[in-house]
Amino acid sequence: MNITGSHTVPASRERVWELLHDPDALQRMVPGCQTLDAETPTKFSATLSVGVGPIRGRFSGAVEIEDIAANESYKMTLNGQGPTGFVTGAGMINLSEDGEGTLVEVEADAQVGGTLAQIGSRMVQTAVRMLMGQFFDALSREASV
Amino acid sequence: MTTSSPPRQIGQSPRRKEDDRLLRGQGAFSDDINIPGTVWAHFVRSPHAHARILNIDFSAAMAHPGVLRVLTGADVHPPYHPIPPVLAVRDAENRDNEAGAPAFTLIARDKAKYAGEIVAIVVAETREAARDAADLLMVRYEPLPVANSPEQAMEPGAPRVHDERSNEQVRWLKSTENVSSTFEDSEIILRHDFVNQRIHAVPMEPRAGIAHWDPATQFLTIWASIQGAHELRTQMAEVLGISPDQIRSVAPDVGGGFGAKHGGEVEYFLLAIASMELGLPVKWAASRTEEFLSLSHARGKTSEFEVAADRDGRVKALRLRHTTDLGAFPKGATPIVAQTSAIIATGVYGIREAAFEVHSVYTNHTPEGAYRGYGRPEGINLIERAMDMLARDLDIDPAEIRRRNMIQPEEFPYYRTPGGDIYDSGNYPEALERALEVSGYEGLRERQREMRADGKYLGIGLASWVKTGGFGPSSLDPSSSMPEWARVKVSPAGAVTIYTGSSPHGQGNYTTYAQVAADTLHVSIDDISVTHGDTATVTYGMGTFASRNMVVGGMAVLQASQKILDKMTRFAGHALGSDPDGVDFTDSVFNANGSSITFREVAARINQVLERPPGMEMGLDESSFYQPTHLTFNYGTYVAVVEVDPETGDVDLQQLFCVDDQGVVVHPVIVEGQVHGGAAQGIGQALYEDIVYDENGQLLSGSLMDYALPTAEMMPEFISEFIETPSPTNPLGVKGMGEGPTTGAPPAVVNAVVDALAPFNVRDIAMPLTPERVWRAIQDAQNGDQS
Repeated sequence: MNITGSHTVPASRERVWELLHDPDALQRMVPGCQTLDAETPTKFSATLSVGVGPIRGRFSGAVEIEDIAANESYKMTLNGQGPTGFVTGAGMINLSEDGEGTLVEVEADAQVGGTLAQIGSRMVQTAVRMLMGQFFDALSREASV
Repeated sequence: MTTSSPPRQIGQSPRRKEDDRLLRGQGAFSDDINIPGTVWAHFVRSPHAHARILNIDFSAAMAHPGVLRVLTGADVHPPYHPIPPVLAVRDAENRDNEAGAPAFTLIARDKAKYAGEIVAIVVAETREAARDAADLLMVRYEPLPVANSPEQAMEPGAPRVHDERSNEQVRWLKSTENVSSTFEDSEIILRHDFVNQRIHAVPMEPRAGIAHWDPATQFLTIWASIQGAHELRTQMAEVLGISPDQIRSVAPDVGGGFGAKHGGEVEYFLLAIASMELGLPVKWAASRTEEFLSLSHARGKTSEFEVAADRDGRVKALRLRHTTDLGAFPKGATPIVAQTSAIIATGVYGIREAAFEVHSVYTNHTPEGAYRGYGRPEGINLIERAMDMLARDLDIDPAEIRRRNMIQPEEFPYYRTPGGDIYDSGNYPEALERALEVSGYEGLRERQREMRADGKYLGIGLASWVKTGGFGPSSLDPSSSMPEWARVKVSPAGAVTIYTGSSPHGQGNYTTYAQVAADTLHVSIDDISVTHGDTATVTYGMGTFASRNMVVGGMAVLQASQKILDKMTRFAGHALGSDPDGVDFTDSVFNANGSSITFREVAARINQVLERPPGMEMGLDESSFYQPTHLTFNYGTYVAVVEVDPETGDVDLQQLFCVDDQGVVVHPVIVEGQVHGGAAQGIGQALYEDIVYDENGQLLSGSLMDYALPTAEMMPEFISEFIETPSPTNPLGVKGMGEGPTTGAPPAVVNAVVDALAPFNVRDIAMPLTPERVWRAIQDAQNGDQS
């Protein structure tokens, strides 16, 4: 499943980049994120409590960051598993200047399995779009502090 | 003995004896069975279609309040056995399979082979605790590449579903002698690839069961939503490694099966194992999503189909390459489904030459199993769609092309098809002509022309079908005996009890078996009760499947009733001073030598020692096995009328005319209900239902929000008529009938939709004919891209 999204954050590229790589900030910004621990500077483990329609649960997973071009782009891979299924995905995050602010663009491909797929697949894309919107709002708030 | 009473009950439609109880909600289904001290099981299922199981951590689940036990693959080992492999294919001479069928493992141990396969069982004091604790179970998987279609699974280097064997379970080849030469000499050759989509039976009652192992008596009792209690007992004994005499198996009220509940399901064996491990009654009731994941799917096939014909539309030969998606395990006898499905593709027509190539292939999908029709709908769909294509190509009316090709009445009884089926009896042209008359076919064609002039698209679709019933030994497998057993007992007060091994799950046996016994014994059906579905009260049984309920089970009831009547006649002869041959039995009264004795008097007095003839035992209690010798073949012609909106692709199915020959009809209202219900399921396949997997083998249609099961509002007007040729295979003259309508409806509906869209040059649309597919077919045809 293809997931795309973009948002202009009222802050410099450097500030946005910094926030996107700060585990404490990420934990505040990612909806439902309960823990986020940096195992290495590019590997994180996380637990998330999320729900898609009737399917809710605690997901635990690993996030890895690769192909880092500072202040410009990076690749993120995700492996998450919970009682209601699993999510795997890989995506590119691009930052570019947009007037006074920074345009953040996400393009990702994800697979879901288990109950998430069987009865949630109709809703996953909508839910992801909603969660991404919440994340971008949080990012804008953090950036303007 | 003589009897002058004509049949009084067979052919009537008395009110169903079971309905009062069922309609008042007084039925007892498996989930209604409660035993003090019962604990609950929840099955943890693989979210991956294909994955190694690296580790299962159940410490958190065990710590959850109320949890008693977590069982994994490591716990299910000898003396417990997997479900024994099934018969791979009939007609062993023509098969080519490199290894036997793999056993159906009860629980995945090293590897999960489909999304939904059980990897662990959590047993807890309550249903809720079991479910909550299951969420705490951590299973680490290593996902593997997926065999996601039979075609892909047959490619070299494809991921193996079973590590030890190739994905193709069996290849079966059969041909008459002159197929190639007939094709070479033929003026017209039609080729088309068909896809028959995977669907799911969706019985109204999801599976449920409760297993109770009593350690003190070393005895297991299991109640389960199944089609045959005895079959479950047999399998259960093999799986558990105990004697069948240590098991009581009960199929209480069962809310629909349609073949999907035929045979033991892994869940029931695991409930029994959990009960044996804990010494407590263990219960489970499936959710609807669990049913979509793990109760049999069916019908998934792809077919390369060719017919050779002359310019007059007379079909001389066919060639079929038929590939079936078994899913991850062989269930019941699914490899046979592909075979029975292929050979019926000559349909109701006198096609002399045919070549069949059948592939049955494992994939990482939910196992396929039986479903109302058992392969026959897929085969009939091929020839019925091809007949319409041929008719259009040759500019012959679809009714006329069928008329020209049908097997003629004088070719019966026992017409042998090129594939090896032996059709018992029938008059196929009569069913066709009657269907044309009932539907007002010529008038419909006229209306179609008028409506087209107004830019409206009426479609008329014919399907002439034939379907097996009365499962028993077939011509392909004469050694498969498949008898049925019945016992009839008459109390001293004259009350009759029938014990049958064929238990109903909606068929109405309680009434129809009473009708059969009533006609022999001249008693009211109100004085007859029927006991079924419990190995503690019914000594033998095969079960209800493959349209065998009346043909085989009903015949056993008839034979046992006749034994009772024989004994009563001998008693009456003795009482009336006559030879038994001199006794007349009329209206429940035995007459001889000018005097008489009633049925009730015989029932009472046969227990008096001084009244019986020498050597006669007391009581009236007789049992009988009925051994069928042939299958029965019901048939019919259906006419569907649709209007299609080419702007939206919406199909309005307005009418379905059904003319059926179901042999002698025991209960016309029940049989008509079977026609409506069977046709409804066929309409579901034609227009709505679809099991969908994504590219990773994930089931996407896992709920009734995602799987379009038709509702009453989506049904057409049914117009049902019967013609009757008694089956020569059995004295009742009955034919198995429940699966025929499911076979006839899909091609009738698809032919009607394609007929409606003839002005757009639409040639085929793959089922289900959703508005999107219909609309796209119109666009593609308009753009010259022939489907």
